[in-house]
Amino acid sequence: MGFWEKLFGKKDKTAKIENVKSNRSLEKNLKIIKEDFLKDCDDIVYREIELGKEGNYKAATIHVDGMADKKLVNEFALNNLMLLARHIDPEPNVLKNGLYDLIKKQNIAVTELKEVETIDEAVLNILSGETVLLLDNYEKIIIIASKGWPARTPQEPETEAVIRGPRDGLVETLRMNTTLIRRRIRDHRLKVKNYQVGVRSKTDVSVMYMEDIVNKKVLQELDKRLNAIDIDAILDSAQVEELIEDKWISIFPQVQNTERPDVAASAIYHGRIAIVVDNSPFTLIVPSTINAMMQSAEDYYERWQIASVIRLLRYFCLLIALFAPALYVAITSFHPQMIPTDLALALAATRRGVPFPAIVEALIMEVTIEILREASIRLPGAIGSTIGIVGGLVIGQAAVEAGIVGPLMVIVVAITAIASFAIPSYNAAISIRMLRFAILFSAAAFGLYGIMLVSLLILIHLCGLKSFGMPYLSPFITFVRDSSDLKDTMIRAPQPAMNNRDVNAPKNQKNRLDDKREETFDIEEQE
Amino acid sequence: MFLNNDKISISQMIHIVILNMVGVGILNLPRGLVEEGRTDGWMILVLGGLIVIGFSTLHGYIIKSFPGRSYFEIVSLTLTKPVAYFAATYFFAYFMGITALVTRVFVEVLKTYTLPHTPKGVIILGILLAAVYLNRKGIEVLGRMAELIGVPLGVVIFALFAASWTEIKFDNLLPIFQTPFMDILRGLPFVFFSFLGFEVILVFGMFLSQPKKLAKAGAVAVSIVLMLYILINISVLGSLGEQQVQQLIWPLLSTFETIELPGAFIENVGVIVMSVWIFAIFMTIAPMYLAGNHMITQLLHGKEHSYLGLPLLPIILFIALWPDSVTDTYEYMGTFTDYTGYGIVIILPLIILASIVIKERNKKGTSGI
Repeated sequence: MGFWEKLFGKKDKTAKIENVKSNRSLEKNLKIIKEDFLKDCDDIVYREIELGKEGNYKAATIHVDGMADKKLVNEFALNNLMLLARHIDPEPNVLKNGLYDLIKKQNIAVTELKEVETIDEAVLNILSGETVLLLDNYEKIIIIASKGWPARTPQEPETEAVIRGPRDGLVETLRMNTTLIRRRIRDHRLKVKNYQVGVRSKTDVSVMYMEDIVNKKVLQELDKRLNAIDIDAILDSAQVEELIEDKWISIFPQVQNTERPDVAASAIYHGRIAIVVDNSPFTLIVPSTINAMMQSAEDYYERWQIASVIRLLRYFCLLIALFAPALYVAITSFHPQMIPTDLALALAATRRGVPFPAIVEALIMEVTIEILREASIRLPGAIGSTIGIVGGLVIGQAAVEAGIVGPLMVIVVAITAIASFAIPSYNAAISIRMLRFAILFSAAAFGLYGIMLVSLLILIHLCGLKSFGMPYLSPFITFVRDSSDLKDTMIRAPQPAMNNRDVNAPKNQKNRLDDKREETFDIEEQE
Repeated sequence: MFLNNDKISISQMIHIVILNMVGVGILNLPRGLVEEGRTDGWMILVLGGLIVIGFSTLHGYIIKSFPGRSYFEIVSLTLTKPVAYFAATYFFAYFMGITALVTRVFVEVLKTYTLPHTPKGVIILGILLAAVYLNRKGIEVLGRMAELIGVPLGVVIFALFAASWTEIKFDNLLPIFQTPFMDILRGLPFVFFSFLGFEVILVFGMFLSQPKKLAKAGAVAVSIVLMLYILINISVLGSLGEQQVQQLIWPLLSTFETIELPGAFIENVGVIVMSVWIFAIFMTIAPMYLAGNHMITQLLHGKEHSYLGLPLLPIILFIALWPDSVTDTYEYMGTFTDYTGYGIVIILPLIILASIVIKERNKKGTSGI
């Protein structure tokens, strides 16, 4: 091997075989498939058959065992070709010239047939679960749509459970997911565009949007970014998310994900774009804002007053989750004059035996609770609750009695942990968890000033973030000019009041609702 | 629909200017007013405010006449290039100095009220690094930030004032109309300097998406600040009285110290005020810093300002640590603004205006012939 080749490496030539034309001869085609493409693939099933009364027309079907629906192929393709076709005497002329057309148009009773002309396309289809039908003396290859593998049926989404609202969740199969979403949108303007991402995995990705409401620029940008992905395999939508988001360096998720078809449909109705990735029950939604991570689907299914109060509560929880331990540290070590004297004295009394400064105390408890949380995720349910009791109750109690931490610290940490669970979006909640530590350290060094300083940095960062061109903090940053978008943020306004789509939608598509009720109905009124 | 990079709207500009003006002046404004005009300080304030509105309109007019042009280009178009170099250097020095001194005042206040043992340099470094971070992000993020925290900040400040109103004795505001007119005129420079900050319009004007409406924006911003200042003056003077206001360094903060929220968990509102005030002061430091940054970028004919943010930090830090004490700081600030403020806010813009007028007349003259 020469120097240059060593330096720059050799290209992997086995990875891609492109545009192999199919032959007229069945044997040659089979040989190419068996030896060039699918060598040593023992889960591929080849079935060579002979058609016609005398059995003088050769054919073959190929599929992957387990991925193709065997029953469908047996009953509606093979049965027709091999048995039923023999009952009728065909006209010799037809058979001679048009066997291919006859089979394609008349014999196979399956709703979806495709035809391809290259072998690599055929192989890709085989590997996607279709059944390929090769005919001797014909170059075209028939693809019988027979995808059918064991799939999960829609179940209640675990990460976004609701009390009231639809209970179906997305699953791992792309087509099922797009169906679940399309079932909620009976509009011809709903478009579904397919992409294949991943050089080796060839994962199907469907982009769903409402043609006239979607922001065209965002759509173009998404198209650009999806096409730019050059990766060997996509295993979950999380990888797509990371490859298309604006700033991967940021701690905040700039793409929303959901397990609920109703959330995806609602986003599409608001002019956003849903990206459904095969093999992932999580659909991505762009553009996304910070607001989206504080919302739950249930907000729209409950009465608006309650939903509004709950949303305010969530924002309050966000503040607690971010600041509570830091405030405790700042107040006890820098500003005890902030709190009433009685409380300050009581606080000092509880901390009297504690040998550590407040920051160490806070760190011990915070790290303990993070370990607890991580451990309980890994364990099966039954043992998980044991961990909760041992970790939460026993360690908390024992730590206080041993005099390592003050009881108030345990309360603060517990409230913080609970508050962080109240944030609906899991990936946002873990970001908050990390930021909490940054604020904690800063508070230990500079007290309230440190807390404010880190908050400023976070705020500057958030102000600079964009998700597909849309400011991440909108509509909060434009509320002086246009306050109508605030109706669906920290509160949830009643439906009749939310008559406009948000800033993302084009200007001529703003209106979404007209309240035409007339409150004149009186059941006791005489006619 | 989505703003391109480095464009701000009129509304964002107004917020930037308001937050930029309210920062440091607010702290010792009541004391200064009492020193200059006793209980008639509000008259100086109103008169000064009206004059400042006039000048901000002038600044707006200059920017409006050259939409999308940087200040350096405007000066070189109207007053030749050498003058432009001088003006840009002058502006740069002004913004650096004012950033440093404002930071220093901030540190003094912070040290007095919350962090008595932390070294000054560390506190300064903290807030300056945050300002550098914002600097790197540019004017667009500054605009968003201003619009995001402007109104909430206003609401909190108003609520805090409302809490102090129980203490107000209206006798403290009397007597009025006692000061001779000449004394009021003599007090004008002080008021003028407490409004400093609106001149960032000159630097940030080039980023406006609709520069045509700028003239009004400056006036709106200054009037809002004027109203806030009147409110502060009445609240502080009313609750503390003339004698006490004169004795205190920062009468405004002392007013907040006296507030008692009935039944509240928090005993000492001063710390809360301090935390809110960090935001306000940051929104003064950051735009000034950014303006200085843009000035030096224009001076060096640089294309990207963000790289020059961090190198300026040591200079500011050095100037900020220069004064020995609070009194020193205020003295330096007075001297510094005396030498720079008039030139920046009044003289240069007036010369530019004259040049614009003369050029237009010449044009008319030639075309008339």
